[in-house]
Amino acid sequence: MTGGAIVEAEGLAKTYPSGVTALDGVDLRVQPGEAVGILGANGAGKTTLIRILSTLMRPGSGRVRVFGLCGAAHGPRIRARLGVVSQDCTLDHSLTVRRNLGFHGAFHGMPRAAVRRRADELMAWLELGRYADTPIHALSGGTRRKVMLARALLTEPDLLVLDEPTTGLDPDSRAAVWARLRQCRDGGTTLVVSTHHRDEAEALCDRTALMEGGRLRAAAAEDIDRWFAGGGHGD
Amino acid sequence: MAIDPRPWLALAGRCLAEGMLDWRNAFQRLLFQPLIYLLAFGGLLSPLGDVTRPAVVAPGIVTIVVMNAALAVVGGMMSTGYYFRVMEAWLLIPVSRGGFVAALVGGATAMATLAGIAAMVLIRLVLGLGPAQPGLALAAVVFGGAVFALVFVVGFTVPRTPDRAQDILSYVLLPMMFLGCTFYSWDSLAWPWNLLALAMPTTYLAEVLRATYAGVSGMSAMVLVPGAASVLALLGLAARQAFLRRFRDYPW
Repeated sequence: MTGGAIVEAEGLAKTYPSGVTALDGVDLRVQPGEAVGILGANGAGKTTLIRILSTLMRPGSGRVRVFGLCGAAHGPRIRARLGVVSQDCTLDHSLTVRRNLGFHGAFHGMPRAAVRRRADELMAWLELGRYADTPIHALSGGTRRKVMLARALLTEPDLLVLDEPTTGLDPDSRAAVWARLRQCRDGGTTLVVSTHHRDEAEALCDRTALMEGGRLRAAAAEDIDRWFAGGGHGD
Repeated sequence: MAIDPRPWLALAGRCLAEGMLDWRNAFQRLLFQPLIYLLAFGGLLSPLGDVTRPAVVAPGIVTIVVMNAALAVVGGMMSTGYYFRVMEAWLLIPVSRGGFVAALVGGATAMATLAGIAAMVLIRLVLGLGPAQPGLALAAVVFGGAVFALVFVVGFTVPRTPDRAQDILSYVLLPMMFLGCTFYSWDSLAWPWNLLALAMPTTYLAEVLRATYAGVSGMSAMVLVPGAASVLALLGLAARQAFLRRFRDYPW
């Protein structure tokens, strides 16, 4: 592997104890400031790849480095520069929106005043202001998704790893989120976006790779056309 | 490279908050629970025993309150993490997995210490009893809180999911509560019960507190100090290993 890339993965494989092979020799290289889309049907292995890149999971075999660091040895250093939107809601249900963001900033060592300022800005942008003191369990699915995005962006991470980031959002909110993510990308943030929506990949990503049966391959526009025509998107 | 303590402290703070999410939660942990124990074992049952009975029982009440507070934090964090998938977000905090265990135990110990102090204040008010050596009593409560937190970390992480922990914990909680010198002193036990009691973390906390309350502990420092240190060290290793085994690969 050579230096400079934000994400370098070689020959990643992962088989779960149940015997299901989620990844089967995945290679991925993402340069600083690049936005890479990973298209694939449900169960193709996208979330497993996202979890490995996020240091939540170890590969069965193969090598992965994020920011030039190995996750097994330098997990905290990687996580300090990472923003993640998981597929499921992982917000602290008993806490309000504001306290979720406050704790997240504190977990990343941000000063309290900076957290408050940034949280207010993100809540205003995502139209979450009126929910600031509402507990997460009282919010709709789409609003929770917005809070997840606000949380991921709070620390201004160098790498954003997004697993189906706009699932459950209405069209206007999706467009607003895409615009903001494009701003982040243009500002130098690296994006890895897992999705099974073509429009999302096209709106956000410089290039797209197709994930099928645990394998990842670079996809040109005609490959993606073929894949969608074949009904491979799982929707 | 120097380790930034702020993420760790924030996580420990979140764990402590698990025990006191709102005033109802705090009231239940810090006042209601110890009052019920006091009413049952200090008020209702004490007249049935001899005059030293309250001094024997009061440390047991503190011990149980400390144990339950540690359980509330560790169990609350693990259950919330599992049922609401928050654990996935917590595991993305920039602390190591070992640091995560330390924060969890630190938060639970802080909560247990607060609950223990509240129980001692209530005992002073209701029974008129107080520790002769408050510093030693406080140290014992902190030690006890840490030990119980470690026990519960093991109990909640050995099973694949926390909902399966309930069965295992009933095998741990009940013996600790009733065979671990909470409502009687260690020297009142005959063989083999005195030997069995040594395996219960509650024994060490209750006996140290008993010594500070009325000097009725029959357990010598020769047994107490190495026993307590061994329990803490072994549980620390076990908790770390159990947590790493469970969360090296995010399982839920």
